[in-house]
Amino acid sequence: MRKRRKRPKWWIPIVVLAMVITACGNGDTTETTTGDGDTGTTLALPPDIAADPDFAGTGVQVVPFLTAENSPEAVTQITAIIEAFEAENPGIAIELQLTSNDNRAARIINSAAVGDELGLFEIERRWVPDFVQAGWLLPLDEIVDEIGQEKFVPGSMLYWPWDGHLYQYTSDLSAASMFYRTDLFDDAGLGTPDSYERILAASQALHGQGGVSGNAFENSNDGGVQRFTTFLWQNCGDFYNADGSLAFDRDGAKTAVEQYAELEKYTPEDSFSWGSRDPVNAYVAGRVAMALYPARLAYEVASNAPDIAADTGMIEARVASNGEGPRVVYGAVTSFAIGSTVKHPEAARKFLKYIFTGENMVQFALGAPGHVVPPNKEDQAALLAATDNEYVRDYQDWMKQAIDSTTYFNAEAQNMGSIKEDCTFEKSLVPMPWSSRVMGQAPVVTTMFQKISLEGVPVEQAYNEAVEEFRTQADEWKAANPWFKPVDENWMEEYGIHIGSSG
Amino acid sequence: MRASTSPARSSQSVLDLSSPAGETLGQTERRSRLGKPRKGMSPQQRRDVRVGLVMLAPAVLTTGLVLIYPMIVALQSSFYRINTVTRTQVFVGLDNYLGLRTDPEFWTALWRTLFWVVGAISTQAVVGILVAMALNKKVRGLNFVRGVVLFPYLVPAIVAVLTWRWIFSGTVGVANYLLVDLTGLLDTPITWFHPKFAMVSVIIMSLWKYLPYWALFILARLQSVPEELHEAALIDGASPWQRFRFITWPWIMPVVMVLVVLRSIWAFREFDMVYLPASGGPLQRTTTIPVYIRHVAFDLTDIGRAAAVAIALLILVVLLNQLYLRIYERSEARLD
Repeated sequence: MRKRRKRPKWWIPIVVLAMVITACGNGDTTETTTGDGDTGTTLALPPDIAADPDFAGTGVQVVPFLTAENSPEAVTQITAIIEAFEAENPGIAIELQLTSNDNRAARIINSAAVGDELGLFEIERRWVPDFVQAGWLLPLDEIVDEIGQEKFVPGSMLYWPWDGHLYQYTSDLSAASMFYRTDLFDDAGLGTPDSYERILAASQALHGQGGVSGNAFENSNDGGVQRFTTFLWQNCGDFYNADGSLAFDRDGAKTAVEQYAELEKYTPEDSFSWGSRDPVNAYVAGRVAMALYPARLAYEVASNAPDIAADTGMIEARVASNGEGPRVVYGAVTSFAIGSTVKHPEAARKFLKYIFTGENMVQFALGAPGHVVPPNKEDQAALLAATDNEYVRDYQDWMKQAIDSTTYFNAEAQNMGSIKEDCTFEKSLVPMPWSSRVMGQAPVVTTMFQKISLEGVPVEQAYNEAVEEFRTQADEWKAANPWFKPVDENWMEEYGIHIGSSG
Repeated sequence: MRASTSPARSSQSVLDLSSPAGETLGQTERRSRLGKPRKGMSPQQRRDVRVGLVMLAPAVLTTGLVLIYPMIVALQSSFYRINTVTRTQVFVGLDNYLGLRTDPEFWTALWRTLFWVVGAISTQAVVGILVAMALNKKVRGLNFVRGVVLFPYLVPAIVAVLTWRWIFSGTVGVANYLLVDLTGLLDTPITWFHPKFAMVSVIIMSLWKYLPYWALFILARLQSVPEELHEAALIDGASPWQRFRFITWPWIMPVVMVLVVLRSIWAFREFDMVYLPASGGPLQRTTTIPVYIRHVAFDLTDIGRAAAVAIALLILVVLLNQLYLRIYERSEARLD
């Protein structure tokens, strides 16, 4: 008997395809907390609905908030702040979008390039010039004006020198201090490491004693730049002047290179390949006698190695000869921006101010006390007074040092030419638009020190090659970006900006 | 010896797409298309063709969207200078390609890529075969070991790299502790990411990560070796090396060749396992072409030039794979 062939189910693949497409549509990682009083719950909403100005027909204004703070603790904290904000502002809903540090840049750039709505998001300084040129950022001047410019740490708010607007709001600061093992220093009869000579003497005396290296001044990609810049600035050098011309060919820069190269001889051998946490790990493990690092190291050593913490000194970094030179250390700025495509700019500004000022900011800073320091001086005082926090209470001196260091911090990509030829320090607020070229994957400075320490290239030759590289990269960038022109020296007065005195 | 140990082709080769009747797929297609006109099809056959087309649609659409379209965009982009951030673009014709000829960083990255691919694939192949042979023994508890061997392949690259960075750390790492302090095999610790060893260290990490992939494929093939071939060889007095050389190797070689082709393609474009350990350093010693592409796209913010480098890499990979396939065909012919 002939078997009857089954009729093919032609509709099956169509249904499957439709299901796949539907599933893809729902696969967005968008999470939204709603202000409906249903505390602690998160709802996943398709972006087209969530971004609707008239969300769910209720007239709620939805503001996307993209952050890479995706640890469970951070998400819990942020969610609580969002819920409180939404309870106070029933007409606004914050759409929390979580991303990773690796994906953040690509996601923001792609969203901006295709015109998707960008709400509140963390922005890297190196992207700001291109974003501003493309008109993708909303001015945030009024937030600072409402609070008062004078209430912020000098130079913590990074105004755009070419039009005087503020396109990135600084949420927090972090600056370097010098950490050293008081027990080892005392045993060896060494003085406090507050000058190049003392740092070198201590490095030489302690290196190799009981498995300890003299210092943790590494020459890894990012870490090398961060550690070296403090030496550079305190030796009256800089990478570029505020007008974009080369400054690395100054005598001070050469001195800093020579001194840092000398100290490099007393770092752990593999420090050229360190990641950002390795100096902390080395110090916490008791393998280095000194480290120049932001206050995260203090918090980590207190939390993970209290015995070493008890024998640790944390002081202002003074690294030039005889402890001279301007009062300045390397620091980092975390800042947030609002995209010009945001559908509800006022709601977005309101939330930005809510989350990054006052009590909320203090609570946020307590996540890593001393490492996350608010830019607002009143918030700094509140942080120092938050003695309910065990660390803040037990390590008041360290907290004071951490907060104090943010008043004289500098950031290489954000303040080009802040160290003047007369060796004074005044934040320029002029960004280095070509920073990704000279501070990116293989920073010029790091390559220079790696040539010296790993290939035995003479210091002078490596330095001269670095000078040429700095010059070439800036020239190439300027040739490709004709909009760049040196900023007028009096631009701050012209735009009514008063950042106060640096250092 | 040679004649008796040449394995009979009792099963189809890995890449053999023959129909049961001995025709290749292409031949069957051609016959139905040219030999049988469509109008001669029965209604049932027409329905089958329609269903076939509908079934194929998702795959064709997906391939078009995620493969063909981006490739066309990349090719088009390679003729422009495009700002990575703002996407403003200027037509530069062949400048991006011509510039590569005199770009020393590109050529250095290319040679490093070749070193990386050859180093990674050869070590993975050799160790993969050895591990697969060890796993092919009939020993108690081996099923558990086979499961454990799979573990590294399941670990995300970032976790694998962070773990290995810790193992290789000069300050708190366990590798130097084992080699110097515990066993005394070495007098002085190894600086694993020194420019001289950096790529070797990355190759070791990659070996750990991808070894299971090789071992399991080769093991599957080994388990289909007819037992009587080994028995006959043993009776003939063949040594272990002769049994490997004349029975095992010819049997597993087609799988090894397929793995070499596939893994080479992946290794050429491998980014995370190469970039994460040392970000292309120290002194660019681990900067392969994909890492260089990242540098051009995000540090130099020129996505057009990055696309040109990517297209150049694509051409190289296609050419090299043609070479592989030719070697494979020759080895297949020799097996027949």
